[in-house]
Amino acid sequence: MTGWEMVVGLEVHVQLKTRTKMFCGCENRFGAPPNSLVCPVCAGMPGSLPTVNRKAVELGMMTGIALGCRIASRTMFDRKNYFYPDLPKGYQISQFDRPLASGGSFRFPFGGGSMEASITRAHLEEDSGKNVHDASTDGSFVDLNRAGVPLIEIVTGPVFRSAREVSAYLAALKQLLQYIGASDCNMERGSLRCEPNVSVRKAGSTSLGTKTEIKNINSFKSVEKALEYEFRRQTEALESGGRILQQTMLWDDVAGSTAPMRSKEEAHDYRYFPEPDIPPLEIAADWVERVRASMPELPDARKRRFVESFGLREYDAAVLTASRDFSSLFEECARLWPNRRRLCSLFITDLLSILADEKIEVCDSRLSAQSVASLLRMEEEGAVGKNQVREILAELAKAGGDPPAIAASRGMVQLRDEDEIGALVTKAIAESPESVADFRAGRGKRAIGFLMGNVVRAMNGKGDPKIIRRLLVEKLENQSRS
Amino acid sequence: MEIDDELARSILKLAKLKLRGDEFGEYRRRLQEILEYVGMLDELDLKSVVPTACAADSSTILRDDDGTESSGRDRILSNAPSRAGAFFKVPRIIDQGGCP
Repeated sequence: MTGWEMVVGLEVHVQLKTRTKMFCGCENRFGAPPNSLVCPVCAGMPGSLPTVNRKAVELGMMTGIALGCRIASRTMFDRKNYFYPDLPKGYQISQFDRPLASGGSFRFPFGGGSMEASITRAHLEEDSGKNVHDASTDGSFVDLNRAGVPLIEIVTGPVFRSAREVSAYLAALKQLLQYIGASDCNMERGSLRCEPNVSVRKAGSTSLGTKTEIKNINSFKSVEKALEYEFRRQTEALESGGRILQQTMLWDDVAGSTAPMRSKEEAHDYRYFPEPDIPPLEIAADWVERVRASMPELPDARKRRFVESFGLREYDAAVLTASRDFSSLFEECARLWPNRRRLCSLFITDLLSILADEKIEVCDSRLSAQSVASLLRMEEEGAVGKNQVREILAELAKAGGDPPAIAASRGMVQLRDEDEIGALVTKAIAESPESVADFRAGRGKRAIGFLMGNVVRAMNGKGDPKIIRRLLVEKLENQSRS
Repeated sequence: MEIDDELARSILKLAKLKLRGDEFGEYRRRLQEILEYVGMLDELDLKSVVPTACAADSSTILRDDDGTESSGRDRILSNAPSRAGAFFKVPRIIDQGGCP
């Protein structure tokens, strides 16, 4: 398949994190009993009227601003007409030629460097309901809880040339939207959905081939698989003399393939027209400025600040700022604990894997900056060792608490009695004359490492490593002199 | 713009309407008349007029993001032609891809 190039543009639908729906006061919540969050407006009852949710507009503005877009001074809603059982009104309220935001660009990390995607537009619309299928019956079932949930649709130009670029963009977009609190971007729950437009062309060509649109991709893992499958399908069709039909393909995650959507013989003809029930929305410049001023720091800015003000390495700062909550916790801790390097290794080496193993989100964990600082103070004073720090940290993440109390309740307090440790050190040296020989021959590091291990084991890990090391060095030096 | 038979059939299909043979010609003709009537506007010079989408000249009123009670499942489903348990029941959908 050499000589062909993939060209992809993305439409990403993101559910906005509002309390209520786009045009009515029903709750915007995932997982409620079917049809329990429905009213005459989102059920499309005759005579009901939509009213625009200010918060949804503001989250949409934030999204547009974060993606470098212009925010329209006057934006409009339009009806997009089609019939489908999950669309109770027979039309979706969307935005057609006056989107909320347009003309942006978004720079994101890719392959050690970075890449820029042009953002054509970002517009507000309402989500559809959900169809539920059951093979055992003659009908299909509809749940309208999702109908009317606010969405922002983010459209890029045809800027991606590989599935990996698309993945990198999606990961960065998700991070950005979570930072600004626009969405939780949970693809499995459908709060972020991506629909790539894919075409292929001969490498070096500047014209675009006929594109297909892929729907039904519901995990980050599937995005690359679906794109690579569709790329192969199109190039094989063209190489065998066929042509590409402009159509919508459905991704089948189990089969790992795409197939044309059957009901699409009719060309798209949505007959958009201005929504007569919603007058145009004027957006004054000072409103945009207020929203801009209320926006939290974006991931890239936070990463740079971590490098500059905490003296962290670029890579570490990127890991720490991957999520807003994680980086905010780090920052609170950094205010209380001046040794940023130790703090950084605690977060990256220990805390990340603890949270992943225990499947705890930072925001759900019981960690506080005070408890982390108290834990590191115990470590610095030699009261606990590295392994114990990790164990206490895991307990803090799961259940919270007071580090000294956790250490005491687990019998973790380190033994620091120098007579006791000294006796064990003398015994270890006596049992290992070859280490003494190593030490004399200038291989002190090896000798001390070996003996440290023996003493730590003899004390079941409860001896203070600093004291053990100091006594070992003292005694080995004494022996060498004698 | 001319509403020919082909365009009229396409509009019927998109609107999911079924007409008898004698109705078809009648509605095609009426649609044509409506367009011609509105077409009078083309005689005006509107180059300097901003397109209007709404007769109200004020900006839309926004709603705070505060909840109101939903209707309750039984009240909502009581209007449905067919229901099955907690769901609206509709004729079997073949494609599972959501909206077109």
